[in-house]
Amino acid sequence: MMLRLVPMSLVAVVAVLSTAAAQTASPRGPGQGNPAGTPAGTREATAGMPAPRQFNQADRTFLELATKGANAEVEFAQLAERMSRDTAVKQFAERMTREHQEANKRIATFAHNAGLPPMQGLDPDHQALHDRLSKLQGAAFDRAYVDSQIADHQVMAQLLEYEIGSGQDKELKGLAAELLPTILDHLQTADGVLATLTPTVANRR
Amino acid sequence: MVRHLRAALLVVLASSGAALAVAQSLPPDASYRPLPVAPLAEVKAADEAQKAEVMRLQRLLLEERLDLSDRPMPNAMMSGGRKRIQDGVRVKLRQGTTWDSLASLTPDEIRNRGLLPAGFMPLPHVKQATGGQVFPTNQIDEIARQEQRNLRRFDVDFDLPDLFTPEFPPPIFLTTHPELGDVSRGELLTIKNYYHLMVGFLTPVQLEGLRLLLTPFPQEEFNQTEDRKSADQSLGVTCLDCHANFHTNAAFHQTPDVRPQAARFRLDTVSLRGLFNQQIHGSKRSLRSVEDFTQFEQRTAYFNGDHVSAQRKGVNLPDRFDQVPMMAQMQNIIDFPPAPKLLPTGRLDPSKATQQELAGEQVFLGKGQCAACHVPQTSFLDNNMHDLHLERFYKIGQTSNGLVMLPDGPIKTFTLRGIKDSPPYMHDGRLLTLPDTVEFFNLVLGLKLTQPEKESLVAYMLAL
Repeated sequence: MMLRLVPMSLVAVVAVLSTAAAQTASPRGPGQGNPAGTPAGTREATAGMPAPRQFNQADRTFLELATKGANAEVEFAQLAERMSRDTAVKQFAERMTREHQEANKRIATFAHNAGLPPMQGLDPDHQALHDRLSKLQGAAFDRAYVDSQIADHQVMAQLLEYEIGSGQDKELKGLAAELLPTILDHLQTADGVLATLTPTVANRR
Repeated sequence: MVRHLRAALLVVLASSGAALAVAQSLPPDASYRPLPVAPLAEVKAADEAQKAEVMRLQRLLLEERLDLSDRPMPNAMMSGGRKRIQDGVRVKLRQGTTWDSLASLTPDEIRNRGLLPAGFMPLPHVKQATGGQVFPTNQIDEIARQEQRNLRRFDVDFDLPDLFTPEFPPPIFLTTHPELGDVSRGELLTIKNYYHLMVGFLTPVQLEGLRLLLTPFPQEEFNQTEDRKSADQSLGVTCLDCHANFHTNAAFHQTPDVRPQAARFRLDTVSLRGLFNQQIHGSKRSLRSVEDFTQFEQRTAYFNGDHVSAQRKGVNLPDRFDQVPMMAQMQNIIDFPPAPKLLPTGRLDPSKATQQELAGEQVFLGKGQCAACHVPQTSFLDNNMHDLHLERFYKIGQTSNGLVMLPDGPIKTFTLRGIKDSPPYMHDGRLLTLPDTVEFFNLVLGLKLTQPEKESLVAYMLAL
């Protein structure tokens, strides 16, 4: 269980900072959403503009899936740090722990604000994967871990894009837009680690 | 017993494999168009209230990236002689760089220092989250005048200045009557006027194809349901509402081929001139015949790649053995505009071309590497898709007015015949002028062209 509820003071600080950032509209960002996805009863800041912390279905779906994915990232990375003896894999895992922990806190704040119930432990899919990885050792573990990381980051990249296009809460969409380049960089890095584990003609130097 | 054990083993293997491969499933509306969750009146009110800000942000983005001023080339008009061709490189450089200094850097250096001009990067739809077809004002007004049909959206307007769109209405050249020249009579072809304009010029089969191409059918943003962006219940959209007079009016949309919505890149309407020599269709889909394309676009309510949502709005399924070939035969007789300096081989006639144009042709065929894909002999096409890997030059995943900028992947080679008539350029219309395209390829292909070479290439392209 990696998701920890952050103290309310931090929630407040993040909310204030995010609101300040949201006031300076720029073309470098997610832009306006499609009001066809705005549920009835949504409060508006100004005409046509949903007020902050008014979450639509896509926001909620994103938060739930992102929380599951983000929790798993850290849990798996810590497992890899313990299990792997491969330098590239260990370095990758350390980076995942470091960078996903930070992102997890921010996602958790939004999940709390959206009224989602706190998540206990890993979701069943990730738990099954965790169980399987825990039984592997050496090269088999490394390969399985990195393979799963590639799949998870592929899903996470698409999920962030989904939120940027279909979400409603400006700050949450902004967070997704901010995280996406990093997630794509993780994916490219994982591809690179996989190449070191599975030398082929294509990547022979 | 052995068989049972083997089956059990297979189940175990399959389940462990599945657990590894599929950690998590994405939400269905990352692929499928969701139903609106609010009544149309509320959606419309919110869209109208947002519109000023939507247009302001896109204008800000365009002005950050591009010089939108009116700087036409002297003595250079489009083929109909009614609109001037805009000159100059309009993409703005990042501070502290010049085109030459940029060209001297490696792709890695440009990416790591964030120096790629934003105007070279993918151009967002005016409202990326909603997307859909957006028509220029001249098309909207003319269809309203002739047909009393509404192509205006309540949520967005066309975003590019009129200076950078094709002349309107564009001339029409027929392969069946080269001796006649432009047969448009300065009119925009519509369901109201096509018959009296074209009877006697076309065969009965071509006339029927033309009628179908001018008949409106439901489109995702223009239909009768609450999931529309026209104020009234719309009769729909016709093929030639974008491909005005079989050319283009620069109406834009998003690629049907990519999901989720934020990753769908913008599509600038392609001209149908010279379609008879084009073997693949669609920027990404590589459909193998215009018949396939013509039929399929009716299936998915014009370019959304979602047959499920289209079904609800009323799809048109033209008969493949009767109606589709007539539509295709009509499209296949649309010629390029005349290029009197070109020989039948696609090469310049040295007795007619200027020294600068001839020099440009040499760059085109040689140092510029343009002819590697734009083969003069085959209408400046190679009927292939190519990946320029622009992502070598910028960090992917950045969001620009709702568009997540990702690698474009392979895109179809477009013809350069009549290219002066077809701004804006590239599949998404990110470049406004021919000089912009020269700077783009100079950088992307690492050509290191000199200024006179660049200018000669522009002169050459004007002659095509």
